[in-house]
Amino acid sequence: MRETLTLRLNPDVIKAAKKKAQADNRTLTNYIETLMIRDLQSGPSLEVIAQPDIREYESVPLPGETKAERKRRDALFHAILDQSGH
Amino acid sequence: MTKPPFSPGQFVWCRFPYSEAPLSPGDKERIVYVADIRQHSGRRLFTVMSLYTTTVQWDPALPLPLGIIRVAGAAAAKMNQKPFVIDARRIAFVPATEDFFPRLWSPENAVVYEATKGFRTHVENVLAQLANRPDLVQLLGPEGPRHRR
Repeated sequence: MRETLTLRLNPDVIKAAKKKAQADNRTLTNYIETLMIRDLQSGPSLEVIAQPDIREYESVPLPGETKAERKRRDALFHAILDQSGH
Repeated sequence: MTKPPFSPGQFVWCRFPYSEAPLSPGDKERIVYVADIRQHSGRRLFTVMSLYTTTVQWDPALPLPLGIIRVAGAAAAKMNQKPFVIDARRIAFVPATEDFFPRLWSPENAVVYEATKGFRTHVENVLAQLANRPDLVQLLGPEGPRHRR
């Protein structure tokens, strides 16, 4: 059985969403549900907030850290940026 | 600032930015997990790789999604917090300035807890999985490199 859900949204967003749904020849409910299903089915996504020149930042040496550990830290930093499209 | 204010593995107070306004501090302070600290070679500016935390409760019957790391009750209690989780899927490289870290000049107030080396490695492994780089995952426990004979 389908459930009713009340949402409080920005009127401008609602207006734009209604337009989009109409263009797709579907109801607003179906449009929102489709977006939700798509998001829920997608794998883990990364949201990274970073300054545009983030790759110019170098790792700060840590006390007791070996060269290999620092190299791994750098690799992880770049891998995260790669994965998030930065 | 010549010395990094924080170290990886620390939980610190931060005004974590929102994705829609990445250059502005968030409206309230929250605890973040410091995953890395980096410095711009030319500008001597530090940036703190901060992982978002939330007290949103996860159904204990369901497995946690990849990227969600539970902070055990004992550790949370030491921070005077309710149990919470780190959401390693939400990362911000936050400039080490007073705007984003209002307690920057009193680190004893800014740093609320320091994780163990094992926990730090666990967080790094989760990040490696999120980055789809299994080669960067380190073994933990008796199979870990330090315990091999």
